[in-house]
Amino acid sequence: MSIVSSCQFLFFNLDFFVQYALLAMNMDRKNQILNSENDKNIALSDEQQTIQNITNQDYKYGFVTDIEMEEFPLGLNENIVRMISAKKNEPEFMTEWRLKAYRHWLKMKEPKWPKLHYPEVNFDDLYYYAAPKNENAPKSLDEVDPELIRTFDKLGVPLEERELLAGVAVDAIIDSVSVATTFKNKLNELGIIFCPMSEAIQDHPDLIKKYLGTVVPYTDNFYATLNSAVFSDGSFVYIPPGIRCPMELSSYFRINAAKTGQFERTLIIADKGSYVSYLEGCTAPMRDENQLHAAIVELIAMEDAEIKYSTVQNWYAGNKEGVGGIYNFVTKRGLCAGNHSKISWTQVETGSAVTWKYPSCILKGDYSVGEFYSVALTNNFQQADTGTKMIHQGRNTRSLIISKGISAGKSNNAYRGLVKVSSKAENARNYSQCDSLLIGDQCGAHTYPYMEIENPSAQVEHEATTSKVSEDQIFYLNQRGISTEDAVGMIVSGYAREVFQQLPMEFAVEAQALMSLSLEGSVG
Amino acid sequence: MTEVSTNFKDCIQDQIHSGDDTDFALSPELRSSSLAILNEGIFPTRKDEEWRYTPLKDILGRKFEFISNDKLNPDLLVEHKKVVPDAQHIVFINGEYSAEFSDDLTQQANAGLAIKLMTDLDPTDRQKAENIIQNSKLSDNSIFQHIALGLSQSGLFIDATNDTEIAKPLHLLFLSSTAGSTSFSNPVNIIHIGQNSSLKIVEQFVSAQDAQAVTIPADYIHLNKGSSLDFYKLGLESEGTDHISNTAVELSESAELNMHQYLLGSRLTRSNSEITFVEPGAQAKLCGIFLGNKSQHLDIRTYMDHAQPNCTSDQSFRGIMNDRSRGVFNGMVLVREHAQNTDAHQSNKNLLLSRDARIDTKPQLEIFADDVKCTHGATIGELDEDALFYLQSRGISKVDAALMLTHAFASEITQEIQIDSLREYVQHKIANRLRHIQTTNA
Repeated sequence: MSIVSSCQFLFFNLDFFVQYALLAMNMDRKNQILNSENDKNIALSDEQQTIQNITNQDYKYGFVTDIEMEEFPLGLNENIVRMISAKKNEPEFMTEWRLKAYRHWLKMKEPKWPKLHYPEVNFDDLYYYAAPKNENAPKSLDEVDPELIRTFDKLGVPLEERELLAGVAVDAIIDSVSVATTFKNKLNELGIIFCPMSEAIQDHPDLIKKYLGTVVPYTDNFYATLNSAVFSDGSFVYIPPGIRCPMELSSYFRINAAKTGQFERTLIIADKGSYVSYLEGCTAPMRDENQLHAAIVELIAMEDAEIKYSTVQNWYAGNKEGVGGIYNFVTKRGLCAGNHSKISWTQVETGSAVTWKYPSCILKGDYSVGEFYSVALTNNFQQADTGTKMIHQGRNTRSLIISKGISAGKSNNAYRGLVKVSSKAENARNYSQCDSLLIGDQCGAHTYPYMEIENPSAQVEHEATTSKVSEDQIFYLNQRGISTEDAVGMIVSGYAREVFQQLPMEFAVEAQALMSLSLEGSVG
Repeated sequence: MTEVSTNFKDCIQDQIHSGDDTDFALSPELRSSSLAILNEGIFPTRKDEEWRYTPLKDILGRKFEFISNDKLNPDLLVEHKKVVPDAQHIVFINGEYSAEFSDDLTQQANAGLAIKLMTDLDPTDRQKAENIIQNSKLSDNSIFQHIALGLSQSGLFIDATNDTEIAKPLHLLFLSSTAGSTSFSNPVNIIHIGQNSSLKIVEQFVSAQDAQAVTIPADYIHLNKGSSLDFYKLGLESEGTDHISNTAVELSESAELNMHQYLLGSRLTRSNSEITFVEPGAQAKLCGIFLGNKSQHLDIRTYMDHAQPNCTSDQSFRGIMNDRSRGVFNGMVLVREHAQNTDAHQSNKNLLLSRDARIDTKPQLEIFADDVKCTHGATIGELDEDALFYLQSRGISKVDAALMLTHAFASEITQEIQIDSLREYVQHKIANRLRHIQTTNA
């Protein structure tokens, strides 16, 4: 039973890829009927048809949970900021910090440099706080609103089963407030703190004071500053020295109430010699209005510590005409503060109408290591401008960037990455590889690497290629008896395999096994 | 012209209001839009993505004047002319055409090469020339292009007729000669190459010792069906020179462009080359070296616009930075929708020879068509320790070994130069420059 449900969980997250994959799911019946009609009218080639099938898919997980929501008035002003802070019972220093951020935000302008086109966001027409109206926090799963449980059921992630799923502790968040936290006791024994940000502000103000905003200061950029002013909740993780977190920590975000900007804030601190792997996965219900999401993730790795942060993002991307979908403007940054520390970002980005996201590493400690693995898939009218920044400051620092972009439909997919080696960063080493795959001739794939090198001992390499799913590859698979859509699926999952392999077991193992199996069995 | 202005912007404003229409290279109609932009006077800042790495603070603090041909030591020109001895030499001094030192413009007229002064065009030629400018839309539409278009009082219209191979290369020498006050030159050259014709052009920017100058030239080039152009640009100006150039090239069906740039001189150089494939099946090859020492700032920008299918482009640029110099490479490959079967490659390799040198490189791809082969690559590093050790183990001193390796690094580009004397000259210049670098480092 647990295996079945975990499979479901994976399928929804890796929706697109599973659709491509051979053993994944049957093609939508509707699409098949539609296409057989097409066949009669226009003689489409197999390949074009497959492309059409893929690009015509509807979002499978769009629905709105009918839970009573508590909302603040529309718009943003100092009062709203104070209300949010008061609502969360925050100590004075947090309220002040939020207000400082808000006042700074008023002076800022929305950035225009990304290669993105979207109607301007009216920040006065948004709700900045929404929470399920359930005032009494549930102490166990039994107390959780049954409607909420059903939401997870629909997504294929029954909460009660999650505890059983291979060691994943879930800090489930629906619309900005944590509803249930599992495995807390086990983590407590090791001294690991894993709790909602709002709780951490109450219970661990010292840690918050010391670390919040140190990697992403409240002045950082337009959306980060907005987040600092109004952030609703998020996860807080502290791993004490020398502790290897025994399970993958997992948080699960959702945007639910219509028109609610979601402002998550996550802070992960790995103290000396510790290790933690953190997963974040998300879907959002179908809505016609664009929803704003401006999250911040801050990671801090001390001496010899390692943080592995994985994301699977499958928010609503808008419909086939490009209407609706999430605006995803995220600031993610990790600081390798100590010597020999390591931060590794892995992301699978398949959702959102607009994505603007550059998970970065500041390699401050000597011998520190930064890694970035990314698969970004855009379809229909989706736009993604994503990549990473590797900022080498310490001596003998290393970074690796593997980025795989896949563009389909009329989408645009851009990699934008910075490798900076400052003058004191002796013997820095970077290797970047950015590949783009185009499916169909309506989409765009772009690569904008920036390399700023101020130290001669640096060795920096960047390579990028652009290709399409070649007719030869498909023909080869066809003549082995594999249908064209399965062939495209195989080629795509093979193309992105380097990144999938970086995903933690709990996220990827079944999907990976399925894809690898189907690929290797038939191509070899 | 009198010098009253205190900075660059003011000097530009003064120029707008001086001179009659007949003094200028281009017609009033064409100049008007450029003048409007000059009147606004907005210069790019480092917030402009295309100027992110090239600060203009120093150049904007300069004042300049147009200085007419002054007395010049003819020996200086003899030396420079030797770079391409068997060529038709045309000399500009401080931005002005010098009949005295140039070969006869009609020297190759019988062979099919018409060369006229921009200020001296008949209406048919003017139409032809100005059409070429009007058709090229630079993606980096900075004010500098308009300084050349709106204010230029000199330049050439070079028109090669159909079906001819022009045997003698054209050697265009741009020389700044003044010490003391800063001279300003902004020639506009328009080059039109007829169907199935071929031409070789060498543009050489030089200075008399210690010359102070601001050079803002612009070239607009149109290659007709089946034609070919070998275009070499040598930047060898003095340390007192700032150089900002724009080159726009349009390639028609099956046309072929070979463009070389060797930027060794000046204090600040920004060289922007924009290539547009306006018809299918053409090919362009761009390569170059930028070699900086002291506090030189050398910025190469390329923009390869694959607007049509079946075109091939290949770019290979190498940077060698020493002392406190800064190198910038900003290369764009744009493959537009429907430009299928595009084959585009770009590579930028850089050597940092000193602790304080810096490289910023930004190789970019923008792809809107799916059946294409596009790659780009960039590397930055110092000389390979193993290779250095190998040479040292053969009894070669470390300095010599480093020199050999750096020279080899540059030779991969220079060996592509098709004119023998020019190749030797460039290699010699680079070797000289490197030797200087090695001795100062040793």
